[in-house]
Amino acid sequence: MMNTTEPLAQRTEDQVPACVTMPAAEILETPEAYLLLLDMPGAPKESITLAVTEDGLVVEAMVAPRPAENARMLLQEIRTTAYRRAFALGKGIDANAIEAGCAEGVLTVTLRKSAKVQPREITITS
Amino acid sequence: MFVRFQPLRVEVPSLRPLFDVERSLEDVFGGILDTPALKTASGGPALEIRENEKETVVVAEIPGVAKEDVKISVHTGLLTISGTRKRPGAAEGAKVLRNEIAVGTFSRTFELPQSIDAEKVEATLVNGLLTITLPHSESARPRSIQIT
Repeated sequence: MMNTTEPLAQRTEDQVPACVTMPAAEILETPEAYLLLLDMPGAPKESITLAVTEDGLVVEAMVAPRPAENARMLLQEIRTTAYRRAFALGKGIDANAIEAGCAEGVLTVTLRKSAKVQPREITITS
Repeated sequence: MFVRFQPLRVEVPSLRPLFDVERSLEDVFGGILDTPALKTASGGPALEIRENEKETVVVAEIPGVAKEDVKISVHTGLLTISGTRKRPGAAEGAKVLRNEIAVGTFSRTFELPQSIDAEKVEATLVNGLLTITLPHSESARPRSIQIT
């Protein structure tokens, strides 16, 4: 993965190799929908893509490069340059009604349950 | 300086079976072994620190934390970043199916490598990344001295 053998402190930012991270997720369920929260610090809203493929819901994002001209790296714990994670979609999710919003580096995806899995009451008519 | 252990998660097709194993183990043990949540709770936010002649720049990963919930202090050469990550409002009354995201307080302190001008420290919080710019004090900047 590492292309150079130099100590990190002597490398500049552009030499740090690409690193795709799986973002941490929280999945919540309400009566109407599932909520998927993903921690993607550093990824601007414009860089985030959501796609429903045969693998399920695929979320990808790019971390905005941080300018580091003439800088010497003293500590480098943030290596992520991109995020990627896929989630299988259950049958009860309406794939056509997926919404997403992003704030403070957290992506919130709302996956509505399809009408047929939502609880409903049936009145006895006769 | 304290360096927090942060395993890399790299998507390499040949390594995918390993991640599948990890995921299965996680399902069994409830993610006790290595969840991002625990890493955050114990070690504080991940950092990047770089410097040039004029300034030291500290970047911290604090997704989901509001600007008003972050505190930065510079005292006797030590920089402390602390704050609170609140539970998202959407989580109220919802059933949690999977949780890898830790909430609560965090704090991280480290020694600054240069003497800095505490008056001119600036910080921004964009997309969950906190960037603190610490200009070096005049006395700490390299300068050449002429022989007279």
